[in-house]
Amino acid sequence: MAVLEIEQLKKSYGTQNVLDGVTFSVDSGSVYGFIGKNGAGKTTTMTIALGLLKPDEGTVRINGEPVTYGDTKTNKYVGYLPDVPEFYPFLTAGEYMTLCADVSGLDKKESKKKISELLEMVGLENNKKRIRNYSRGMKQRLGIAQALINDPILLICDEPTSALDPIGRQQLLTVLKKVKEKTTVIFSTHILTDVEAVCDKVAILNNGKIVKQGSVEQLKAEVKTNQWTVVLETEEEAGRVAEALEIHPELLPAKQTGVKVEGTSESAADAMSIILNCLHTLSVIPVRVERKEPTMEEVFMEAIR
Amino acid sequence: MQLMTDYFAILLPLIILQLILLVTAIVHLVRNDRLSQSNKIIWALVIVFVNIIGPIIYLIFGRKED
Amino acid sequence: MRGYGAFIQKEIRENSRNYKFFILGIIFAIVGLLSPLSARFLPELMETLMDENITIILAEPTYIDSWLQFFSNINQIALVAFVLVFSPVMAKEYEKGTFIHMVTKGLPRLTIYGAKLTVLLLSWTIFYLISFLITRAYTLYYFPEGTSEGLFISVGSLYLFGLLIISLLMLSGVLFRNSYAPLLAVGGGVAVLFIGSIFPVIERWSPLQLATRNVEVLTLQSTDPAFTRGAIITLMITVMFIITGGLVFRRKALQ
Repeated sequence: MAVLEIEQLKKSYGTQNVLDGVTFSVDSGSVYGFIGKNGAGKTTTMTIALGLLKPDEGTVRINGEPVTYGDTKTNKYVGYLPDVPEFYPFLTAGEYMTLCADVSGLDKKESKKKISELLEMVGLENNKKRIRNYSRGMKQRLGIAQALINDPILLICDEPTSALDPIGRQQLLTVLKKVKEKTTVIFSTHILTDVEAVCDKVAILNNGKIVKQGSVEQLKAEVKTNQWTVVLETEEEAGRVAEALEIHPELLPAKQTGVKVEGTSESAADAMSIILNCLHTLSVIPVRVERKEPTMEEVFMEAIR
Repeated sequence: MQLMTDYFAILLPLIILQLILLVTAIVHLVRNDRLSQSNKIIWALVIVFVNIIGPIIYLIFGRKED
Repeated sequence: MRGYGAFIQKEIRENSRNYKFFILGIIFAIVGLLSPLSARFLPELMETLMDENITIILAEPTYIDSWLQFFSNINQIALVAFVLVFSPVMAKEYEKGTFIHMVTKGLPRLTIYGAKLTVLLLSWTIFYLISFLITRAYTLYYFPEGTSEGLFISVGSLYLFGLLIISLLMLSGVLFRNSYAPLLAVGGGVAVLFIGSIFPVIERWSPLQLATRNVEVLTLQSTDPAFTRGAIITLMITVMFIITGGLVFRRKALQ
């Protein structure tokens, strides 16, 4: 079932079309990566989904209910973590969480337990400091805890990792993985290694449109250029192999550097069979034959080309 | 004599209020680690010598906490 | 309702921890003390400062002088300080994006607005009351012959004028993101009232009467229709500002 459905979303500021017919949906129980360059319209899309911004056209549904501008009812299903979360600096984490629980209308008794659970999960339990003394990473972790206070079925995170140091990022991704068991997560990012680390599915946004979406494996499989490498024992052998491979039109030009021959092809499987055949006829025993998985980076670069 | 009692009846609470204000501002200033040493000295002078207004201005604009 | 209570608690914590309540408490108390003090001792002070060759005849001060000082001090010190201290009431939250967490958790915007307004109105009420009670006590002590006839209306009307100012403070806070905008709006609003008072037609309907004619009401121990009209107009504008502020905030972009 789709937790979040976005249809034909359009938004422009003046003459600039930020969103130009964005359509995609997020199924429940997945971590959904929302990828795009800076300024591609990721934040705009998320803000509209939260009812904080009015779209020019199009609809957003959360859990089947339409999102309206202003006080939207759908917010009770949603947790939100903005890119640079700011909380009331004069409160402690515990006080802030209590405020959030009261605002969400949680049961008083339940909320106490819930708050200590969540603060423990993000490693802020027993922290008596006021939020004004928190580091960026601590605020981000508190951000996750407050976003989960109402047991949302959809957690919206806006570039949650971009402002963090490597340790903070690792912690945050771990928390996101934990959350995944109960909650559907959609997070926008331009850090593609994070996408590979936690996402099941992605949508790529470019020029106000979704240019690609699907599961990570599926998108990688679709990538046209596959890299391959053959490593040989001597340069002489490498030269022979490179020469022999040149005549095959399926392989794009191979390049020899030292004992290594590298190249790309449109189909990894074809390339492999040609290479293995070639090595066999030349009776050369390679040190290594390798076919490189396309990375998310390549998927992304190809999608926005 | 009556004048003196009259005078003190109202002057005393006024002085107490001023002292509370002064002490609160000074205590906050001493504990404030967001100000540099030289800024602290300037604020201390303002708090002590600008009657009533000094401590108030410090507590509103000088705390640098948010 | 729980959200309302929780947000009020947050506002109270904010204002106490940021020393706002403390500062205003002290200022209003000082104003309460200063008014009877200057009424009682100003003539004596003048005499000592004056050249001995010049003899001026100073009327013996009365309880009216004490209240005269009270009204002008509230107007010029306490109310100004109140507006100064609370002018960032909305701007700070707009700027930091702290409303967003509350709104996305389902706290209705009108609840936020209502809670903020409640805290401002309550603060004004309590601080004004403190100031009033102090002045009242010392006035009774220094000028026991004074009467309390007309006091309620003259003091109450200034209180009402304060409510008008607060509703304008909230409305301008909602409208503009800049934290100084409410200062300008309130200052501009009062300036408009003063300019309007040049014209007798407007003067007889103006809310400004509630802040300028207090002594007159106290002395005469009665009001005239113009004053009553001013009070009714003030009440109407206050309610209108409050409602408008709420409606605007409901549709206001928070980012």
